[in-house]
Amino acid sequence: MKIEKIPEFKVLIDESKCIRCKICVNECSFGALRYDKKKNKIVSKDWLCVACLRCVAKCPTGAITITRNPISLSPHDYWTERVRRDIWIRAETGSPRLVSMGTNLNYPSIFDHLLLDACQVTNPPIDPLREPIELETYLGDRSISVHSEDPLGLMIEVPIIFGAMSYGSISLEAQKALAKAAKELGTLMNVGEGGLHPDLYPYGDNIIVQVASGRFGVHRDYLNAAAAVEIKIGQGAKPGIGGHLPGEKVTAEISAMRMIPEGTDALSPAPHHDIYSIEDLSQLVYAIKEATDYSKPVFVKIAAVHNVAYIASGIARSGADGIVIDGFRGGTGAAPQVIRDNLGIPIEIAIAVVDDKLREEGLRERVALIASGGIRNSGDVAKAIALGADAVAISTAALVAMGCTLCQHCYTGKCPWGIATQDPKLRARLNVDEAARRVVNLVKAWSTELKEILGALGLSSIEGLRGNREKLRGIGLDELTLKMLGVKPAGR
Amino acid sequence: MSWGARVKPRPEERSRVPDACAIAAVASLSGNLVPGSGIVEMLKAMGPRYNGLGGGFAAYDVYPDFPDNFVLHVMFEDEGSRREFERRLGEKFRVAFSEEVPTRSGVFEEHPITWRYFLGEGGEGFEERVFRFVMAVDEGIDGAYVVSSGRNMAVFKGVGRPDKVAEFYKVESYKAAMWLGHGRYPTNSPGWWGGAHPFNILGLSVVHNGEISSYGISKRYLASKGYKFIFLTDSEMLSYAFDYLLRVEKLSVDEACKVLSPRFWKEIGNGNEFLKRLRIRYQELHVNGPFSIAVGMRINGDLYMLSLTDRLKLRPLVVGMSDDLFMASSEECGIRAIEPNVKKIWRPRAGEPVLVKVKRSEN
Ligand code: SF4
Ligand code: SF4
Repeated sequence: MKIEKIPEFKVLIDESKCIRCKICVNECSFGALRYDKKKNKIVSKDWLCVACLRCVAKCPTGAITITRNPISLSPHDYWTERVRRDIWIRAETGSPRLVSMGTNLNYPSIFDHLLLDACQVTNPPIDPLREPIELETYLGDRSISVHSEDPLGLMIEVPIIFGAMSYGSISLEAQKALAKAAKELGTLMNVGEGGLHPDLYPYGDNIIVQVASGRFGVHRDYLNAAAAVEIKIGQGAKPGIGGHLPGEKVTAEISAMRMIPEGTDALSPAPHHDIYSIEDLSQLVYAIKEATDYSKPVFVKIAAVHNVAYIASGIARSGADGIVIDGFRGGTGAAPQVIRDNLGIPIEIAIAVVDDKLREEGLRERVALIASGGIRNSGDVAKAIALGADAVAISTAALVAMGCTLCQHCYTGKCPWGIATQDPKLRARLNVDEAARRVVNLVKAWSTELKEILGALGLSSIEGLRGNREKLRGIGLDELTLKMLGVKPAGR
Repeated sequence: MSWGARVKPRPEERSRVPDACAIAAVASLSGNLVPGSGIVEMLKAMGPRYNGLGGGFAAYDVYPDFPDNFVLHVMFEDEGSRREFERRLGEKFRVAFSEEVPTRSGVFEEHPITWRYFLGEGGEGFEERVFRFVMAVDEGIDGAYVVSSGRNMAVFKGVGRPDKVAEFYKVESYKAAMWLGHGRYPTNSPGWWGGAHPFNILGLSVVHNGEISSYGISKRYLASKGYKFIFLTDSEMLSYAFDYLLRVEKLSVDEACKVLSPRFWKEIGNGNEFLKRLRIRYQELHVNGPFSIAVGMRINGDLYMLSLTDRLKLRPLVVGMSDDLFMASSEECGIRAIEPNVKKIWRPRAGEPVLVKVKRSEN
């Protein structure tokens, strides 16, 4: 056995429970399970198992257990098992390793070092069961005079939207589920750079369409079908890197959406070839505004990188109505591992310094600030908003709600849950209504939790929390980080 | 030479102090000036609402000899600060008259010295010049603090029970068309005289009861518009918020109130485009959390008294009217203390502003 094939996981089948129904064999999209007729039992190729747990969920008798392979590499805290495996894979293939989802490295999480305040005695908490608490959120330019007749931006009912995931990276079923959920919740989903499927046009009022460097699927009707347009400059998981949808995934339908020949690689270049600097961005912003009759807000999405505050201030001057900042933990369908794991900065710091810079420059009211990349729960949402975001965008969390188990193998196109795949057999596994229901539930639950947080803080609307860093305290953060976050240490 | 009492914190000492309080306000409806003893009686009736760590008063139309002059009331910790202040003042403005604000000795063991400076000019852009000067002094001279800076008005305040503060400043010797008063219940005991209420900027003064949960963002917003925060109290922020909305953004008083205490989105609905725009544009100044306030202001020469609560009304506010007077108070007893013959008393609804035009004396 080749050394890189030493399995990470082990499939254990309890033969006393197994009824040989072979469901697991059919369910495993990675080919890890086989029925051996002679032995009359299920046998596994453990090195193919990715611990997606599809078989475990589908086995009618609960016969399957997946464990980490208990073999031990000789322990070394520096040359860890992960480091050694990464070297073996490259030594075998001679290529960069592709990975999916956000970085799985153990970088410190700032969210987990921030605590929220609560009212006691001097100030009454507000009971969300008795008093209305408002989550309605405005996205757009709000520097316009109150007497002006210029169109306003968008009102959404919760400060949570769904992040960009293209048709291609996820299935049409997953996109439809997000569109349905966005509509029911009164919020927005983002179709990424894969064009807009005809089935999604009816959800236009709840859709953000993307203009990315590949310009796939961009035409006038596409822009006008949506509620807002996003220019994608970068993505947290792969800042400075283009995209690559391999030719075998460019099916007839995807080729039609993306307006490229079937079977050809869909290559999104690293830069937009008409944006080599900030003044070019402004031209694209206005080109889109012209094409949509100045009726739709235009957002610009960037990855959180070292100079993010200055970049954001340039974008705010470009005429854009919103900036989406994607932190280094942001997810991806496929990215080179070294890029995903080493580039960018945390979203918490990015939001804080951008909000500060925009206020310092008198630009904050011109743009909405949307934070994404690693938002896991309503606590993260509250903290991101308190640091200065108008809203957050969630993607991984929404997929997990649909059933994704974070096996991190989206790049293979074999998603066993029908989410990150174009295989018709696998796609059929995702029930659009059921997936939408679960995503709606997740956001509803978070909204209730947000109201509880606001009530405890003595706030009757989300705008009282927005940028209100007085409501945050740091624990175990160094002085400089606290200063950048504009947050006091716990106890002050 | 220093007098031992502090007027304001140094930057490294600045921290936010929640407080609770009694607020009181009275305005003339007949044109007869109201003696200072009246506002003191209102506060005395509400003794349990304060703890002796702050009291103060604002008086409008209080200097008949200088009816149109801007007057700066400035507290000093020491002679050096006063000299530095007067040097800077002389560079920027012509002073018509100045004097030390008279006080009674023996009331407070330690206290700062307060001076008043009647400025001898006016006209286009003058308010903005005064505003910038006040901000520069508050931020730039360690031992000096401008307690009031409006036209023909005064703020008297200090660390002590309101009746003692009144005794100290001889408040009973003044008559005014409108008074605001405040008794403070801070949660700790910062000894800064400037930290008592009312807070004033130009013609606008605020007394406040409550704790503003959204303080952090309102402060950041106003700081980015050039306002200097010295005391980090809610009332300091509220005085700036009103000044910004009324003077800089040119909103009406009613519109400004709808910014601070907005209606719920459900009520605004899709129909009221203006209310929607107002709430969106000034979202940082939506004053979230409990408050009740009384505000004195001068707009185009006329005096107004405003009282307002948060939109859930988490702090008390009662208003009352007689033939002569309009009164606002934390509690009804405050109103009855000054006007036993009060004709009408009511409790304004949550977030509903009550704005009264003050009748100014003919002479
Ligand atoms: S699904 Fe379960 S019961 Fe069926 S063959 Fe697999 S292990 Fe056995
Ligand atoms: S979307 Fe599918 S392939 Fe990707 S991590 Fe989730 S379960 Fe795995």
